[in-house]
Amino acid sequence: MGVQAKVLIIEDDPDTAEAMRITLEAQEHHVVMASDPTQGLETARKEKPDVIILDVMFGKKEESKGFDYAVKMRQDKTVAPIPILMITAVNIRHPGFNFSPDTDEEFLPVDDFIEKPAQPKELVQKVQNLLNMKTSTWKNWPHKGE
Amino acid sequence: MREVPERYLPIKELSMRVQWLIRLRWIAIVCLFIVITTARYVVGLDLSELAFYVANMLLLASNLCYTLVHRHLIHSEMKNLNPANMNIFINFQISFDLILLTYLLHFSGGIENPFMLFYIFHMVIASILLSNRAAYMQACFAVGMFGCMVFFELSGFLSHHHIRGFIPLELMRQNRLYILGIFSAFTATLYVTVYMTTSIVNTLRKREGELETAIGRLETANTMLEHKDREKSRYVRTLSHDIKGSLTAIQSCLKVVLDGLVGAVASKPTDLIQRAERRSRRLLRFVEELLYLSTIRAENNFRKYELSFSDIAGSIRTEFEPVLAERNIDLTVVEHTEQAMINVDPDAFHQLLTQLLDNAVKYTPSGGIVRIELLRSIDHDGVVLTVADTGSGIADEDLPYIFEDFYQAESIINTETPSTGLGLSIVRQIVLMHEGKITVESKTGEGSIFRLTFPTIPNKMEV
Repeated sequence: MGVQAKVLIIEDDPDTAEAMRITLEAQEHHVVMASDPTQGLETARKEKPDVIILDVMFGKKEESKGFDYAVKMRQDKTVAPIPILMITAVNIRHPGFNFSPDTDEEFLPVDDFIEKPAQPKELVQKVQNLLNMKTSTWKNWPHKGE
Repeated sequence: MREVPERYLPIKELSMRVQWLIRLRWIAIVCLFIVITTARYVVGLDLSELAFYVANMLLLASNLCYTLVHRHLIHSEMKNLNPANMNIFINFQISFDLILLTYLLHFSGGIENPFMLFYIFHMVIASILLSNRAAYMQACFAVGMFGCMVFFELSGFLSHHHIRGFIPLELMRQNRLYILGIFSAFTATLYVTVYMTTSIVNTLRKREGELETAIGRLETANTMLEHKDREKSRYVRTLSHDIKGSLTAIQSCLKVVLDGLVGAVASKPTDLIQRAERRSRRLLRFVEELLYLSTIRAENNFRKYELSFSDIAGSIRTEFEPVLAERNIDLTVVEHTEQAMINVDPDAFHQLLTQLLDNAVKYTPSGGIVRIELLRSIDHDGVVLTVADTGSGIADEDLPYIFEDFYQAESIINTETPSTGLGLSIVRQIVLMHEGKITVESKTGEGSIFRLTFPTIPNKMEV
């Protein structure tokens, strides 16, 4: 199968995080966890994972902290080249929070999106794609591409 | 009962009344001119026409001045225009009109002239436009002036102008008691007129005030209701949010087990887990729709853009491709308008089409047809979108209720195709928020047609 790699999951819901960990560990990936984005950024600096999985929402108030942290990661020299897979919980699109990968892809410095609840097969496939990519297309943020 | 205060009319109404008064005066000027000219040159009455023309010119000049003053007052001071100034202005106009009327009467027979009834009009106008006290003051002024004129004419201080050929008797020289009688009747008439008119006006004003208070109360109640409704929606949102988080976690965990990532599971537990997964997925969908509906109801912040219908239809088709293929349903998209652009919120419109198509596909048997059509409305002020299917249709008894929250037709409650009962509520809400209309025609066993009309004129606020 694919390459064994180190994956960092930044997700505040412990059960969702656990389900993803098991899914990825079944692929023999090494999984590192962080429950909030601040801690996640620290861990990313220290552990230098191959892929980061970042939840878009944190906390009760559904703050879209994930957006801010995606940008922060791109501004960090060590973390910037790591591909990010963003978890979005926006199956039905919310008015006023018109997040949609089709349109926001252009300015959100992440490499792919996956909708919550993540289907294990899809998660594995998307992580694999990012592993193959090796370096984020956003490593020279705010410029996209090579 | 509320006391009617010594009141001024609202400034806007006062201003309108002044305009009305000025307009009436223009008519009076024209009529007066015609009457004088006819009386003097056609009928040949012995009038001192110069005095009349002078009065008419004065009336004309004064009305011109009033027009200018009024324009000045409303243009330069409207923001903080003092109603007292407007009242002084009206008082002046009525007083000056009374002076001119007395002057005209003096030159046309004084108390002998039946046109003295014209004082009554002025009293009515004063009672409507001015405060009660000011109306009585005007009555005093009229009686005073008329009285002075009669007295001075009687005493010979002023000459009496009897119009021969028009007034049969020269009362001045004949019966002073009768003159006193006329004058008394005149005075009483003026005061009674003011009394009656002000009473009626006061009652009307009081009613108006009560009505305004009632309207105010209704508006407050309405605002409170809207506020409560938003609060309720917010509550539902928070609640569904928490539920959604947990359901997502449940789903994720069950999926991991079902996908065999934690080792193989025997067939019986698998069956149960599958059931649990299906139910949690259904519940998740329900919560998501509830959340969406509450959000759009609580915050009407759609952003409308000009969108190409083909693009949206294209992306929807791509999304539905797998299920259409699986159920062997043919989807036709027809556009009758060249490159139809619609002014809608992209995500909401996507949501709307998804819900309608989802229903159409769900209730259409294999081999059926779903047809989406876009055409200009007959009166060309909007676009009509129809979504038609050859599905099971909606029973007549269900038809009136299908847009209600949580309503599920009897025929689908126990079927394999579960419904949240919120899809059409969402559709209706989105249509309403785009100032559109939605209607449905359906026949059991033949299919349904949903017809949506959207106005094409872009809402300027949304641009």
